[in-house]
Amino acid sequence: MHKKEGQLRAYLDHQVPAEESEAIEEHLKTCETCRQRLDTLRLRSEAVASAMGVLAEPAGGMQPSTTRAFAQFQRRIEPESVSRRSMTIMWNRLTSGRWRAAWAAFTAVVVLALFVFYPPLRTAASDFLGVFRVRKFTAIPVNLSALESNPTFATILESALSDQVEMTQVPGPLTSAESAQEASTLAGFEVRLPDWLPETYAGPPKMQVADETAFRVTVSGDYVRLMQEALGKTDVPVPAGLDGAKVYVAIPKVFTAMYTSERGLLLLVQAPSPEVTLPADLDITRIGEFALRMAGMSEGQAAHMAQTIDWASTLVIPVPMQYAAYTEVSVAGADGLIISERSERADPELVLMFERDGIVYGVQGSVPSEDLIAIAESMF
Amino acid sequence: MSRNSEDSKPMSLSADAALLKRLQNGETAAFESIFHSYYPAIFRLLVGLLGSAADADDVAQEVFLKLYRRPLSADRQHNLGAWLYRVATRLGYNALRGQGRRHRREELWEHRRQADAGSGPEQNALQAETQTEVRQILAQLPFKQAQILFLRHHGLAYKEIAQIVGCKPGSVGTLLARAERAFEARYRETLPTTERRGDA
Repeated sequence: MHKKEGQLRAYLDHQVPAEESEAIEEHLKTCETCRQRLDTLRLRSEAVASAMGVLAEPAGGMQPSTTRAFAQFQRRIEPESVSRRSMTIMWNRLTSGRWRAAWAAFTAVVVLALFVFYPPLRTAASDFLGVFRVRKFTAIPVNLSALESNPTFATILESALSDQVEMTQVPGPLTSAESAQEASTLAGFEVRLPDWLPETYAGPPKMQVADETAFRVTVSGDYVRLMQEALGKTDVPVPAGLDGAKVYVAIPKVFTAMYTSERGLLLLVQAPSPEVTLPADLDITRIGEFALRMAGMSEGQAAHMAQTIDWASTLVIPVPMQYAAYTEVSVAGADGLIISERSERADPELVLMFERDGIVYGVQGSVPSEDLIAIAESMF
Repeated sequence: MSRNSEDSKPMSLSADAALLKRLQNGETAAFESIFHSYYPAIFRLLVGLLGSAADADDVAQEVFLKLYRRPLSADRQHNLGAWLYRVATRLGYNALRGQGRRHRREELWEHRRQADAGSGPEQNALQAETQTEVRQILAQLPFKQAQILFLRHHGLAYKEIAQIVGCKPGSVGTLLARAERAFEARYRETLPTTERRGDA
């Protein structure tokens, strides 16, 4: 039997194991056909090698300076790392320190839900696209034990973030402000400071304004399926139009004020609603229903809930029940949401979120919920 | 994919896995360590392919940017070196195609002008012209063929090539023979130029 072309080619390059090499040599002794084929291969490979040879080491011995290259690389990623920091700064603070475990689980759902859970308020922005703004917050309980027991989930999540999310506007560094007036000028809206604080907190706060950020998410069906697998929910059909859907998110300037005390930080966050633009042909209720099922709801629950939620104006916050609890509250005439850490500690962290007159407010600290509401109400 | 211990790559697989783990945890030092270990090899690969240090540097930066933005998973037994070579050859090939479109006419014209005016050593000008032609041929070949030809020419063993292109080591000979046949066919098409040069 004749030798395969690939074997002969590998033999020419001495890239076959010794015993195979001997077998080929034995065969060549008696097979004229294979000798000729080997000759043809040899001549051709020599001709190609000679042609490719001109590409060898260019003159002048171009040795790279790795140190210089790395410095250049760092300059290149600098805007990216700044933007990553800015993008996560609000969330990280809202969920800092002792909230880490909850945050890890929380992120998992947020990514899957980014295009859904951010919704709301459709305005007729263009013929093709719908623009949504946050007007209300709703919490839904989620069970993330499936994710936590899945070690590959973090990897999928990270890949999904880097592949699907593209920064379209990279913000500059945070700008400090000395007064509320200066902060308002920088932010472009009237920032509000509380008139009342629990005694332990002392002013003046440290005030900063983060630049505008914008990014685009291109939803990849592959990742949606990976997420489904990670969550063990492959039986839930993916809504039409989701794969490849482009979602634009613009985050306006964000104002933060930080008060310190021995009890920890008290943080205020204020910003106009992020603006989310979705393809108009996307059926937001169907996608909401899909996300609710991913978050652990049964088919019936999810269908009912998806119909109940006003996707046109509600930021739905998935609350991992093993780490946190939530209460709906009323703040200065607006509907708000308090999410509290489940903890053995005497002073668990709480976050209050609400929207008023187009501005989204967040207040976070280790204070009782009545105090959190009182702080918020003293801003108006 | 696995490597044996006599492999000449800068790091062993287990060292890569540990680095990848640290990279995933967001350790800047881990990334820097990977960059320093692999950048020179990736740069040399690309400078051979593209023929310009500036282009090679640009593409090498892109390769590491990809790694930075999407760290590989350590528990999936990624072979970091093979991954970097794979991405580098892919991006290098794309650049080569772009380069072909951009520079082909100007370069050939410039080389001929130099040869005619005797403003540089004629041999260099002719060699530059051949380099341009060889790069053009590589750019015209399907990626997999160009990749395997180039990696083999770069001196990599079949086992390493298999890891990079993602095939069985036993298939490399077949793929290489096929790629050489395609290269030769293209090269013959450019022969009139080559013969003219031979006569000169």
